[in-house]
Amino acid sequence: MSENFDQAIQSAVVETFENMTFMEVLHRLQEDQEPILLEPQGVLLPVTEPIEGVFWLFMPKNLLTVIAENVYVMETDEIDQQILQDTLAELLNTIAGKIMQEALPEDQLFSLGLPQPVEEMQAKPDETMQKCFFEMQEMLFLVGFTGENTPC
Amino acid sequence: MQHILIADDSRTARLFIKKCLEIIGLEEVSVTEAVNGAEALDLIKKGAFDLLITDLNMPEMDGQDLLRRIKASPKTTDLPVLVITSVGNPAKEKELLSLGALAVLTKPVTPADMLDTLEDLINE
Repeated sequence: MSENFDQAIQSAVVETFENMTFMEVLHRLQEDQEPILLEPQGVLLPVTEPIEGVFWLFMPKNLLTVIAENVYVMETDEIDQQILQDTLAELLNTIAGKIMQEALPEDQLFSLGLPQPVEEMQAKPDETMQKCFFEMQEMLFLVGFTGENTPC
Repeated sequence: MQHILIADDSRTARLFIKKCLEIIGLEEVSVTEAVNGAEALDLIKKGAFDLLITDLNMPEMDGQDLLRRIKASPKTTDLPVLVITSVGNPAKEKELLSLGALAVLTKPVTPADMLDTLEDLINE
């Protein structure tokens, strides 16, 4: 992954979580062995202009529940699977938009598609995915990108 | 009583906006929700709203198309529209304002951003 793209992802993730959840998020440096996510829930979001690619977000169910409680001021028993999936989609939508803003010139328009849940069968990210791991509340999550070209 | 229409395909995003309305003490505001631009347009044609808060990326009809249609009709052109988007940058904001949006907020939107903008719009 290019250093600029990696920086754009880190900056977008930190800003999104700080603004939406007021929770600290740390970038996890790449290790030889890829970390394993616990009970990951996944969502993907296509970017259609000016490049074509797909952003991915995988996050443990427990972490997603904490975020939903925090952002929407809900009790744990009010949070159903639909709320979790919706929260995940909203997070990736915001992160992807922020990455594109960071990566592209100010006068460059860009388009994102609609978020789609990732089925369990697809939950293992493929080899071509460019990955950034982050840590929050002592749980890991993954932001990824697949595509022939990156925005920067 | 003021009547606000929220158009967003995300249930949690609609919930976030409603929480913000509660926080600024708008208990007297009546809120209607739509899950896409087509449903929002249908509701706008049928009812009188004081403000539309819309997402940009939505299925069936997106927020930009909805904005264009509202501003093209003499019956709805005066409806104030606040757009919330993840694809916001200065170029996009300029485009949306030129189409008639009263304000554009780019995600991540903090509760404070939302509250400031809503207070300004509602006071107007």
